Amino acid sequence: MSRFPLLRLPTLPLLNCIQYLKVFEIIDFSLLSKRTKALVSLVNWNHPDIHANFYENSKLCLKFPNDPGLQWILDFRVELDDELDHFIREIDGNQFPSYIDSALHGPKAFHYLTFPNDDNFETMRKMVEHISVVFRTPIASLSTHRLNDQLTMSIVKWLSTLQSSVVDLDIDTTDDITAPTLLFILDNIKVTDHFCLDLKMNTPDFEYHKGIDIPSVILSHSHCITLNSILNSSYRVLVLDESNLTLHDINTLLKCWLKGSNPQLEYCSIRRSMKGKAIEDDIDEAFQIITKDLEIREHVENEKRPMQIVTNRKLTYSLPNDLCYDIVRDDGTIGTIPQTYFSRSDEPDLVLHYFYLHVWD
Amino acid sequence: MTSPASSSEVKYLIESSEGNTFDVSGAALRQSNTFNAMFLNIGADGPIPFTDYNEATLKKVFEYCEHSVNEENYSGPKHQDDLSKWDLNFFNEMDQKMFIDVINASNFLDIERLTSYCCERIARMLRGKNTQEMIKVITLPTAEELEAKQKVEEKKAAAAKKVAEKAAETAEKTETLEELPVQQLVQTTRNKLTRKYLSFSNE
Repeated sequence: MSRFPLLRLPTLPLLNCIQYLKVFEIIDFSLLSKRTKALVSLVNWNHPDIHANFYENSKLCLKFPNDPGLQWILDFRVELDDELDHFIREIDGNQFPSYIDSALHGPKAFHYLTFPNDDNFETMRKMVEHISVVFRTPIASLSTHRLNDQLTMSIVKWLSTLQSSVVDLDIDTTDDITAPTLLFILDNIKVTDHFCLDLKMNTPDFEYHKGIDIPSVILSHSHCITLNSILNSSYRVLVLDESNLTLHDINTLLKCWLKGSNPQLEYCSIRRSMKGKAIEDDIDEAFQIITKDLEIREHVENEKRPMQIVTNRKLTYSLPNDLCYDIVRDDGTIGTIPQTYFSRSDEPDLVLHYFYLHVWD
Repeated sequence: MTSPASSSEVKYLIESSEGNTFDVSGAALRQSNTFNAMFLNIGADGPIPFTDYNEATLKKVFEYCEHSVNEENYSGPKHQDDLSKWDLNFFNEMDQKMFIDVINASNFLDIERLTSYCCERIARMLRGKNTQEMIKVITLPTAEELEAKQKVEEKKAAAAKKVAEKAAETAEKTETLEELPVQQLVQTTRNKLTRKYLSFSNE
């Protein structure tokens, strides 16, 4: 049978044909030539939710709003499954072995198109760029898992050239992250919903004073975030672990909040760890410093107070039912703070201090 | 010629590229959105010229329309497996050339149901295939074809640029004339006429 001159059809029926293909067939068709790539990008797609996860076995997941039970996953693996039939696919002139398989988990189906991964995620990056163009959709969320500083920097730089913003950004590094990388992320990546930075240690000699305009932020090592930065930011949810803020800073934060700063704030938690004997050894004294010059009243359990914090579309926190105190802003908004408490970590010399401000009305 | 306007029995004459004419029922023709937009309200005085398509193709397209006259209104694509035996025969009878002609005509006539079934049929050729397998069933333009196409496009772009430049130049001149005071404008026009007259006299 002679080959079908598909590309000679008028554009509308041609686009109609493409719409009948399944996601991996669409991707394969778009990889055939520049023209097929351009054609696929003309189709009026339901914009998929694209999530790119960079790690040893990286994944690029596509979920379409009209098919929520289906996930199309481009899987980049260090080792390919030899039991499956491999086919060569060409991306930008480079050929890669690949295979397709599927898995069912309850009512959900996962389809995998697997490629070999490489050290610098070059194949994955090319595919992300390609998918983003053909479905005319930016990456909604990007995460890295156990990457070193150099690779982290390389990926965030690449992301900043690829698109102007990202909904979710989750950075997880293997060890220390250098000040330039941290600065680049904070200054150049516009995150519109949620940012999580999971560092394994603090970045020495680096402080960030500018405001951060991200609704929800979770930082595992947050020495760099200063009080000034917090006051200039527009957080809704802020979780700072290993913070460098002092009890006096927390007092200032509460006073500023009462005067109207951080109007969007719903929840702010600060965890600090201290070595050796510190003033905070005295719980009462610590609480007095935090609440100095503030009018506080004991919190009475109240049905109006939501006990869950929605950090982002994927994560919620349940608040503990501790002994708390309320501070009230002029507009009637209530800020609930727990009585300051400490706990000892596994290290005998290390004390952990937890604090949070929960805003509700 | 259009037959008498008694709604269900209205017949229209269709003219093909060969200049031949043949009858199609109004009900069948109304499946074409192009026809509806062009002739339904104003009527057609004489044969309707669909002269970009040959008789065989048009007859095939309208054969489908006549057949699906009594089917419920088109409400989106139907899976190929759900097609009736008649539908399947209709498609299987066609060779590739006829199939392509039918798609083109159906696309021009904007017959949603037929176009969509044809497209789904084409998509099935690619179903379950990877890039290497797709290349075996569809023709991709060769490097020469692409080069020729690019040259044509470059020529077109150059021509369009020239036209745009000329238009801009004319607009600029008009603008200049509009900006001139009346007396000066009269003088400019006079000079032009004189020049024209002179060149005419020289001839």
